[in-house]
Amino acid sequence: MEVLAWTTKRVLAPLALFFVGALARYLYLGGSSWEVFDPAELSFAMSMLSLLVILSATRMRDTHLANWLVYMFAFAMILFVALFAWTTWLEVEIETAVTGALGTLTESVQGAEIDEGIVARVIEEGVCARERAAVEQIRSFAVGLSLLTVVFALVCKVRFKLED
Amino acid sequence: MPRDIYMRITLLAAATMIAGFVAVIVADLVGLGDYALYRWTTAIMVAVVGGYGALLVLVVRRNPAPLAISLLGFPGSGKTVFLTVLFDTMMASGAPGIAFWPYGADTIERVGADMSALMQRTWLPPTTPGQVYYYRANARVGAGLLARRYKIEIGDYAGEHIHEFDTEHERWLHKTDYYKYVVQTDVVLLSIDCGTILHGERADIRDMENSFIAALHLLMEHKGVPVGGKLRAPVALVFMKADLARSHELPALRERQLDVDELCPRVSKLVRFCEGRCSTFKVFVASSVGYVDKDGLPPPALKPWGVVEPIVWALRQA
Repeated sequence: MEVLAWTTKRVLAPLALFFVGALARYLYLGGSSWEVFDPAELSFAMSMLSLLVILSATRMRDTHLANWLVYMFAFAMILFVALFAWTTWLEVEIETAVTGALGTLTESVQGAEIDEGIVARVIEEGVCARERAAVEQIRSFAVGLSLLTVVFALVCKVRFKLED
Repeated sequence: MPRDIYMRITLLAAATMIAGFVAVIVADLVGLGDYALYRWTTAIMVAVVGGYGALLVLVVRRNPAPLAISLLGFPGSGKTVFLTVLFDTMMASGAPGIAFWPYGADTIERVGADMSALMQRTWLPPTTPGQVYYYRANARVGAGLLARRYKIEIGDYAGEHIHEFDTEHERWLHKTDYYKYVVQTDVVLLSIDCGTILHGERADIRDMENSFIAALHLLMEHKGVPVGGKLRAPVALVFMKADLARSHELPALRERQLDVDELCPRVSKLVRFCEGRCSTFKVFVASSVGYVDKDGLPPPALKPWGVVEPIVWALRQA
């Protein structure tokens, strides 16, 4: 019960943001895809999780162990904040480039009927291939690091009896 | 929590961010092509995840799991002598399959000083309310990859604090750190003075049983044990000063060790409660000094028995 309460407060609550976002994209995209997981949301949720675990670790009686746990989760928190900033910046770059290219294209082919969605996707894949690849790379990295951090948080709770 | 840790975290954060920015700017300046850049970032990410994972394993393996043991008992039940002899015995000879080494100057100095007093045939002064001494040790159960490591802490509080679990006692309204310590504990040792249960007043024995049951109830409540559920923390009932009962109160038992079955019926309510509500429960009989001399002082040569078994059992059950 105690472990469940702790997990709900410190792990599931911060990750709710990420799951709600994934659910919304799942419903919008109409199917399961790797793309439903947004690395920016995941990174933000994980940075909050790391912060909550740090607060829990600071209540430990064993200050030596508490210091170690604070260091580890502070490191994770910094990484996730950096990933969040990086992903957000890349997404803005992609959106700006696609919108600009789409505007230019629309002006140059005035009168012709074009499907803006398809054209935007083509532009994104052609013009922003590098940024898109970087986002995919960050997505994989964020998922791997998140799994590692969540498992570590649960191991710490059970083994070191982190307080609520 | 040392204050400088926050400064270190801030510096670490700043250094990581600066390093990240510098890496990106340098990669851009030297004109690394797309594929070359991705190879670099992939290598860095794999290194970060691998290094972080390795560090996590290291932190878990290097730091033993904390194991808080509470020793509950009424004043004069022999808790301090028990802990002193327990640590001295474990330091000297240990137990099969268990490596035990006390740590902290407080613990080592206190055990040494108290053992000197006992060997000079002087009883230890009672722990007064408000005083607390922590007995700490590192322990390893088993060996090799399957070894379990613990950082044990046993708080020695005055017996008067037991009334903090008694709703009718004034101490119920003035709870101290003792209360918090007990309800957060991982293993509970209930110490009962054999002298009290063999020829004490029936009402006193009832009070003692009720106090222990109340303490266990509050512990179950704190641990979130559901209605009808059982307390998962191991609970041991230790009959202290078994030598007194053996040599003076029950002359017929002079030639053999006092049997658990002969003591349990005297605290049947408590035993029934523990058997019914605790998933791991065991009864022990212990004498911290061996036969006490006729003058009531510790014997010149201490010959304890049954002192190590409760802690060995607790470590194996934890």
